Amino acid sequence: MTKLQFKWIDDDPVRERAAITLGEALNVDVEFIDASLEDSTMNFSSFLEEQEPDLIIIDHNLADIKSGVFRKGSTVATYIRERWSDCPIISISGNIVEVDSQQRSLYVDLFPIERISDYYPNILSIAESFKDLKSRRPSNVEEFLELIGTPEDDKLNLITVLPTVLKHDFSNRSLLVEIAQWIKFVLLKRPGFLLSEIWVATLLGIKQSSFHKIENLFKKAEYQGYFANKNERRWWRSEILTIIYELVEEGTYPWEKGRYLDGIVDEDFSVCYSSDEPFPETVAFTDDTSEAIEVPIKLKYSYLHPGYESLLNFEDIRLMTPAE
Amino acid sequence: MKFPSHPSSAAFKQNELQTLQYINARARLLKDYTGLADAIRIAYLKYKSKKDNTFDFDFHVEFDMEVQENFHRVVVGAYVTGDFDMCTYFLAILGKDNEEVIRKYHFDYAKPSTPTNQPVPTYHLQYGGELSKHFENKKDTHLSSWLSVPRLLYTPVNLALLLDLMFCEFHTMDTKRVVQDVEWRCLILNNEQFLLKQYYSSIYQHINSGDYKKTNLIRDYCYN
Repeated sequence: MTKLQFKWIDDDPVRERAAITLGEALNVDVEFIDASLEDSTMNFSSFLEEQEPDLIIIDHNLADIKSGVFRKGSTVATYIRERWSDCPIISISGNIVEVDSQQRSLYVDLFPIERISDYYPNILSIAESFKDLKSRRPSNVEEFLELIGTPEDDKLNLITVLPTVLKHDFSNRSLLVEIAQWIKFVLLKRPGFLLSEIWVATLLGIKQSSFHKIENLFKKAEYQGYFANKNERRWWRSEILTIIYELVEEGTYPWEKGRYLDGIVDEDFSVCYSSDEPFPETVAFTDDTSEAIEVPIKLKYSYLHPGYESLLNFEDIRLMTPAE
Repeated sequence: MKFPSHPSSAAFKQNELQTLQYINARARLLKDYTGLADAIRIAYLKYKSKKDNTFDFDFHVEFDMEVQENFHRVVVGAYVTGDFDMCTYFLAILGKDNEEVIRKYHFDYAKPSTPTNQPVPTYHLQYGGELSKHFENKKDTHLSSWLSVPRLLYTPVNLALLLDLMFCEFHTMDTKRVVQDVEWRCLILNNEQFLLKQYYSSIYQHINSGDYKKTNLIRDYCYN
């Protein structure tokens, strides 16, 4: 099988070592383009004459370019997209917090350079997903929903939350990038149709640390669609619910039923992070910093995160109420 | 047999499951009634896992909604057992502190072969009536729920038609949005065709048949 072809554009030649390491780790070919060496415009123009790669990695801050018009990776991304509209472009940065949302929107994703190896599974899934999407480009919303493995029960609800381009504009030039960004930044990020491990465990009334005991029962519910990767494991909520209701007669609600699963004992039952009360109804961030963790919590000890609006069919993003 | 077109209990329960599925798959329909939507989801999951239609359909939800310019706890329920051994739907409104039942209506299908103390309309509406298990710990001071009569002739009811009745009668901007929604109307159309079309058609046929005379009134036709 042909290896995936990556290009890495950077103005720091020292990072060529990181590019080689990435290539070896993921078993892909990585061509390092040192943007500090010559006129960047000429450099990028010539490489656009070559065959389109499976993924482009760009340093967000190209401050050390010797000449040329580009100073930001996002500008380079825009330039490349003119030619290769379906090419996934991701960015790396020493300080991703400083990248504004408009610049972010020009990349499929953005990763911190100092921990790039942590994100190898994410990077590989982006390249593989785009490669597959290019060969199976959906031509209508039903095909798109099939491609991501949407359960029957979710299809109509999912359609209501899709952006216009993914409902009506399948001839759009940037369709694949739109798909990628919606899956990565909405479907995978916002709990609703898909749930992360802590959300699934809380839904089933057990601790996240105990989920491994019953994980196999819910294998069928795991999201295996585009951009799935081991760093961002997700499960279809509707499938989780279908399975738990098929498996367990006792109890009414899923958080009651989960506790009847074989192997689950009292110590596995979820408790509120704030109060130790049983049956935390939701999950909240401990604070609004980037270091915050998600914890199971009773609704009364949390409040709506001011940075997120409520969305139909998605869970509210909440913050833990600080202790008085 | 009167109302020969009444669906079999299996088909009736299957239709209720389809109603739950239909609403569950269109979360936006009841986005202003999350308590009701959640109960429908739970009931859908519960009955979806049943492999046949021999299950007893037991649905119950309490949620708050605006009723004549005040918020009240509203109770909606359904209980369909066996081969229509029981087939009852109810709509109730709770009063102060949600402890007192101030209105309760039952919509029943009395299977013609079921023995009763007195003839009853096959499809009837009962004001008050016995408090079921869902109303444990609730007072019925003003309801006098021991009183079972009169049973008023009414049309057949199922979950979709009962919810529609509730949304139409407890009129607000939110309920108006529901009852005017194209997909909601589609659900109601399907359920009207499933239950009401044949009901009215049966009565029409009776009126136009030679059987319609003073010894066989519409009233007689509608009574078991």
